[in-house]
Amino acid sequence: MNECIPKKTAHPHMVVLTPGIYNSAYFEHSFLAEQMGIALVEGKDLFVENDNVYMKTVKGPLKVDCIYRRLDDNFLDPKAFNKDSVIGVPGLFKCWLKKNVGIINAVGTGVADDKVVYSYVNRMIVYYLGEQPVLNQVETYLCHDETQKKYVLENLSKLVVKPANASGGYGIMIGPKASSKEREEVAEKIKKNPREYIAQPLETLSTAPTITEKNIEPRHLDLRPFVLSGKTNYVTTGGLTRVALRKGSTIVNSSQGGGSKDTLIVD
Amino acid sequence: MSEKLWDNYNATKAYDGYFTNENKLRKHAVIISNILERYGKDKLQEIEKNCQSTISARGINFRVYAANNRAEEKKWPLDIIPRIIPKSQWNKVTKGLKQRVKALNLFIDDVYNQKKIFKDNVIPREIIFDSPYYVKECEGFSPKYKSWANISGVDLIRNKNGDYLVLEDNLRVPSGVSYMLENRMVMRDVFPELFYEI
Repeated sequence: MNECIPKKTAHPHMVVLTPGIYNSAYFEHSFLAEQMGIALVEGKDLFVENDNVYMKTVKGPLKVDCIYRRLDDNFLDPKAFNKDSVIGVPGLFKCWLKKNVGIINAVGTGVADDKVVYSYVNRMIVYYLGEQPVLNQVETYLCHDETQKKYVLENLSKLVVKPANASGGYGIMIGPKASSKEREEVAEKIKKNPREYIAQPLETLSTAPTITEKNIEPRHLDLRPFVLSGKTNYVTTGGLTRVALRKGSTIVNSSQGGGSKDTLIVD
Repeated sequence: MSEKLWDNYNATKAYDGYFTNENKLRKHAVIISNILERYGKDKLQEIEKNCQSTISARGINFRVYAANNRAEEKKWPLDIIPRIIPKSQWNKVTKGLKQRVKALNLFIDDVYNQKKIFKDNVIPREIIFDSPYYVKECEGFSPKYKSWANISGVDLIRNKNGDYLVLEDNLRVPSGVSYMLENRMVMRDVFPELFYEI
């Protein structure tokens, strides 16, 4: 976070900005604030004056230099974005544009986090870095392209269809497991809003032994390592392994019956 | 111990991190398998129970919203058999992730500034400027070190051949980092032997 403070300060103040106790990741917000030894705040704990951000404290206002926000762009500042947001900080966006405060992740970052943009990342690597991609990615069909859309609609039973912008495993149709009614519904949605949908072949997720009620059985998993970027890049050792606890399931999201494992890097 | 730990373990057609398709233990899994076998099924079930009560005691939970919008607090589920990745594979993954996020950050900076990649027709302009996540007000702005996504949680899967594939980049507000750290803390508490030999 230190590297994200726009202006050099002797004693910088940083905060974690949470939507509040009802957010599904509130546990994480409080954990991170505690581990970093910084304040956990809600929008109403901050205010803006002369394009600087301050935190209300019992000893009076304290200037804030960097904010790790766990709010979407839209809710960050009712003056700049969604007027109805009550969890944001009015005027915050302007402070950031003037480089009086750092915001993690930067506002506007989401433009590259979309499953349609995802399909172009390998080309970005070649274009910007002049390197060949080290990691492969899953083949992706873009429904806003006529030829690809036609292929998707003809092969719905083999493909996984995903909304381009959703997360948490919501709105996904797994072709081979879906009923014909579900497939028809998805086909309608694709025809209506092709840009909003992509399709991918169904990849089998790898497995690892997992304790079940009475036994040890293979269960499917994925891995989420975290990449930190500032002056340099850093990757966590291992990451969060999520495991689908139901036999045969490939849905690893904790909101939908997924579990987790520790991840060890071994010789 | 009448029954051996892996006697009934049948790796499916998917790539398994411990066993090959012929049900042979992978080389990098030998040490960990020895530890697990020394404990046996019953003892491992016991550790799993310990693990659950430690999670309760530490208050590691998450919230789920049901269809009727009622929130439910749930205990974080952690399985005590670790996932293992050989160092050589991990080094390659690390290299690939750094490369990917570096390119993505350059791309975002390009979107809001020079727009070179569109002028060179590498990526169609409309997929970006029609996106609900494109923020017009950021035009002309560039954060320190041109680093837009300071934290990202890249989802990886392994296909049948064991190749690591990127599934999602998660650049907005990726969650999970606290659970990754808590998992390690809990494991050190309930299964310290695992860390002596590795």
